[in-house]
Parts: sequence; structure tokens; C-alpha cells
Amino acid sequence: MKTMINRRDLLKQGAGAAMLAGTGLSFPGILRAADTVKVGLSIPVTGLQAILGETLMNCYKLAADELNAANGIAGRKVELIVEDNQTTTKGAVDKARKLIGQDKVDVVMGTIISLERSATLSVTSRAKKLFFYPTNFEGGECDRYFVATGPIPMQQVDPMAPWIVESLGKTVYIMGSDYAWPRKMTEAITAALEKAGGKVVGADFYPFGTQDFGPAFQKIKDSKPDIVWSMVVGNDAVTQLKQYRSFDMRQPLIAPLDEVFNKDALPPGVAAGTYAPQPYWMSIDSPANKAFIDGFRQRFGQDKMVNGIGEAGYNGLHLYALAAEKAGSFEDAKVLAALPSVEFDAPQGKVRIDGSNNHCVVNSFVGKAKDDGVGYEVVKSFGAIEPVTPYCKL
Amino acid sequence: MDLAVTTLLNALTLISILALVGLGLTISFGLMNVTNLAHGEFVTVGAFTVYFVQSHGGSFWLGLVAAPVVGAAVGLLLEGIILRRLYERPVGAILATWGVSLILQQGIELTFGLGAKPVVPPLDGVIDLGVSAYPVYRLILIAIALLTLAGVVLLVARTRFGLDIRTVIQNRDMAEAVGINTRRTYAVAFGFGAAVAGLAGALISPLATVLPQMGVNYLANAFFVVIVGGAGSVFGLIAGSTFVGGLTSILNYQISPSLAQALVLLSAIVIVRFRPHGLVSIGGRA
Repeated sequence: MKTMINRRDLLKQGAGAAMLAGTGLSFPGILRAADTVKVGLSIPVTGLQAILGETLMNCYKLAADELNAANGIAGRKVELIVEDNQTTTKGAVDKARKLIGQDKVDVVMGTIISLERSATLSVTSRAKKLFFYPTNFEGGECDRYFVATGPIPMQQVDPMAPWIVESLGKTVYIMGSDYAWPRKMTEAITAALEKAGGKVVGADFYPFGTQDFGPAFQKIKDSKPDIVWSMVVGNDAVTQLKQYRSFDMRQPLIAPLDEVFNKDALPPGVAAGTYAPQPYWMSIDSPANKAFIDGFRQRFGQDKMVNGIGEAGYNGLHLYALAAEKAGSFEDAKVLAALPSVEFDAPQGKVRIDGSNNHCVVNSFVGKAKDDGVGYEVVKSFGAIEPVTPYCKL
Repeated sequence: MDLAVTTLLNALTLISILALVGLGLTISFGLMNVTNLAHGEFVTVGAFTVYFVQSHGGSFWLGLVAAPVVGAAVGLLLEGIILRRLYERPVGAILATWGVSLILQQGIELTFGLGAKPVVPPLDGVIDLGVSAYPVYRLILIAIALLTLAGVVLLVARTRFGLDIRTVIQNRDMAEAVGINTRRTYAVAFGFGAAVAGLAGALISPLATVLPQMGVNYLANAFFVVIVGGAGSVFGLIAGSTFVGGLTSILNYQISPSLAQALVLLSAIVIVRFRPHGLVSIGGRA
């Protein structure tokens, strides 16, 4: 008995994983699990979303460091297990299975584009394992164990439509990548603009890997909209934006960009003057945001940028920690039950989870890219927006 | 009028890119009977050359000149180290070039890091053509492509090297017997195709997304163009590029881009069904 306690003490002091491995056989599994809380991260470290993936991963590391510097979560250290889903369906499925089946994580977090999310959810849903998803997405998910910390279209589009009609113009032309998010967003934009007295005059969706947007700009010149709203994403956004500039298009452009993407993937200044709806901007002036950015840059480099997806990931881990502490348990169902009753003072402002659909009450801002084409100034703040999902009542 | 001119120029831009990328493929696929799956990487190499030169303070134009040189060097290495041993084993060549393609992609990613690289266009703005305004850079791209293709036609038709190439294609053994160094001819032809693909990559770089994986997008299109047009001839290449590029640009304006792509593919299948050797098939190569 005495030696047993000594060993545990050693472990708690972090005497090393080697010790754990060496003596692991003599411990019941439950004792080892009790020392840390395992957070499984499914991140697109490689593949199409690699740029955003790195930032997201670093935001989770920052949140874990902050928690561990205090008391961990309810006294347990946070241990991150990072897996690269390669921005593929197969990768996301395999890595979710590995995290749940082999690593026995307490919660799964991460993924960026829709295919990663659907694939991960297909595993977590069946395993009844909590899955925190940080990216703004098309909505339509309704699963007891799925928690979204980013916005759905109505949280961004509904408040923004009247502002667009009032400050930018009435007619909008939409260009999007040909997949779920831009198409669902377009439905939301069409409905919201009509209500606000505006109109979508055209919408085109381009297959991934489109090399030439020339014909699109020709169509736009013909239909003379007041605004162009682009939802061409990822690497195609670079192509689209470069060509938009080269064709000398005059319309204000709403584009799905952020600070990280602008800095790492775009030629300098190309994004200048574009608008974007986001739940978070680096220029938000609050102590929480300052601490967030300072902490991030201290760890990962003074010139690094953060973005809305990363911030939502960071919020997700903190919300999980608060809920687990409140529940006094790491059981999925108990954490879930406590989740709607906690609130986190996030960099974007206060956030919480709506228990009726497990989506986040997020802030909604319109940003306008500054002349350097990297940072944004907040031109309009709509405050905190509740997620309303007629298709989902949990 | 405005519409017609813009559509024509959009089509010409696309045709130019397709023809330049396809040129090397029509040489290796059509003439040497090698299915080179690493051809797209020559485009990538060209684009990254421009990025490299620009990020070290050089101008775009310097990059544009350097790109075909680097492309040729990579092409000659690939030919000399690997393809040379596989001319008699076409299936082996497919596997080997696919492997090389992966190695080049990952090598570029390891060297330059993840994600898209910024390339700054040398010229901004549009030029007023009287009836419509069009980006200056695209006009330059079209001009360079036309000059390059004209040069290739002259090279094949009028020079000693062109004669050698044509002889080697018709009958390699006989060419060897009359004293043509067929090994060297193959190597030079392959390197030349790689150089033009590198040039295409450099020309595309200010318009497109410069990524280690960018070549893949162009590889499929290039095969498409070469097969529809008729492998092995420059005129077939031009016919194929005009068909694919022209139709894509016109349809893209009329209907949804995803549907347009499907329709172009469908019509290409129909063409290949009725003209198995492409729009311009060269005689004697049944």
C-alpha cells in the first residue's frame, strides 16, 4: 500500500511518462485516467486547410496552457492528443476512431470544413462522445453530443442584411465554392435580404480547383450589382481575389477571409477594403482579447495572427472546462447537462451554449480589412446573437 | 460587342494556359509514349520559381525567365535518372512518374512550408480596348503564349532538331541507323516540354493559387486537351485547347460552372468516341 502511494505521488509530480509506461501494468486503468483529462484534437495539420489548422491547434494549446497554469480542470491536468485528419473524410473518421477507441479521450474537439465535421460526427455520435466544433458552418446538425462554438448562417446573415442594404447597397451578387456552406448561406442571404428590402441578383457556385473566374466577372459586370458577396473558400479564394483585383471590379466585396488567411496566403494588400462577418476580430478592444492575443504571440511568435475559428476553439475548451468543473464529473452526459449554465468571458465577449440546440450564443461583427490587407477594423457590432434552429430542438 | 470581345479574351487566356501546359504532355505522351503523371509538377516548379525569385527581392520578369530553365532542369533530371530506363515499360513509367509527382509535391511542401504562396502580379489594372476593358496582365499572358507556340511550330517544321524529332517519332530504329542520337533527341524533347510547362506555371502564378499541389489541377486538363486534340501534334494541341478552353469559357458565362465542366467533359467523350485519335490525328499513327 505504501509503495502504491509513492508511485502515485511520483506520477503526479510529473516524474514522466516513462515511469507510467514502465509500471503501468500494476495500475488499474481508472487510476491513470484520473490523473489527466484527455482532449482529443482532430486538426487539418496537412491538406487544404493546413494554414487555418495550425492556428486552431495553437489556440487549443493556449487554452490548455492557461488551464494547466491554474488548476487544470477540477484538479486534473489537461492533456491534448493531436491527430492530423489531413482535411479528408477518411482521415477524420480514422482519427476520431483512434481518439475514442484507443486513446479513450474525454472529449473530441476540432475540424474545420464540413466534410471533416460530418466524418467526425459520424463516429462521435455513435460513440455518444462529446464533440466541440469551432468553425462557422451551414447549420443543419442536430445531435445530443455535438456542440458548435462558431456561428450558423442566421447568426451572421440575419443581423447583417439590414446593415448591408443601409450602408452598402440593395443588390447582391453571390460567388461561392460549390458545396454545402455557400449554398446554405445563399439561402439565408436571399431570405434575409428580401426581408430587409434588398435582393440577390445572381449566384454562381464554382467547383473546387477553379482556375479562371473571368467569365464570372463578366456576368457581374453585366448584372451591375451594388455588392459582390464571395464565399469562394480556401485556396480558391486566393485565385478569386487576385483575379477580382486584376479585373478592376468596383463593387464592395464581402469575402470569407480573416487575419490568418490574409497574412499567410494572400499577396500584400489584396484583401484591403473587403468586408467580412465574423464572431471575432483581433481588433476587438477588451482585456480578455488582449490577454488572448498576448498569450498566443508569446507562445507562437510575435508576428502571428489569430482568427475567429481559432478563438471559437479556444472558447470551446474553456467552456468545456467550466462545465466539467460545475458538473464535478467528466462523464459526457453530466458535462453536457452543466454546459448551458456556464458562461465564458471570451475574447469576442461573453459566450454561452444554448441548451435547446447546443449551439453557441456568439457575437456578430462586420469587419473591414485595413489598407495593409491583413487586419480588420470593426465597422459594425450587432452584439450577442442567439442561435435559432427551427430544425433542431434537443 | 463588349460581351463578345470579353468572352473571346477570356477564352484566349484559358486556351493559352491549356496549350502551354499541354505542350510537354503532347511530346511525352504523344511522341514518346510515356504517360508522365509528374507533368503537373513542372507547372508547380515554374510557379514556385517565380515565388522564390520574388521573395528574394527579384522581379516577376526575372522569375518568368528563370522558370523554364528550372523546369527544364527538373525535366532533364527526371528523364535521365528514371524515364530513360522505362521507355520499353510504359506501365512502369506511369507508376514511376506518379511516385516522382508525390515526391516533388512533398519536397516542395517541406522546402517552402504549407499553404498558398503569394505572388505579386507585375502589372495591375485594365486596359481600355475601345469596346471593353481587360486586365493588362492577361493580354501579356496571351501574347507570350502565342509567341511560344509559334516558336514551337517553327522549331519542329524548320530546324534540324525538328527534323530529328520527326524522324525519331516515325521510326526510332531507322533514325538510329541513319546516325541520329535518339537518346539525346528524347532527352532534349522531354526537357523542352518541361521548360514550356515551367513557363506556363510562371505565367499562371499571379492569377492562380501557388500551392505544392497546384499541378494536379493542370495535369488532368492537359491530358484532356491532348487526347481531344490528338496526341503528338502541335496543331492537335491547339485544336484541343481551343475546344476545351473556348467551350468552358462560353458555357461558364451561360450556365452554372459545375454543370459547364460536366458538359465539356461529356462533349469530349463524344468526340473521342467518333474521332478516337482526336480532332487532328496525324497520319500513320493508327
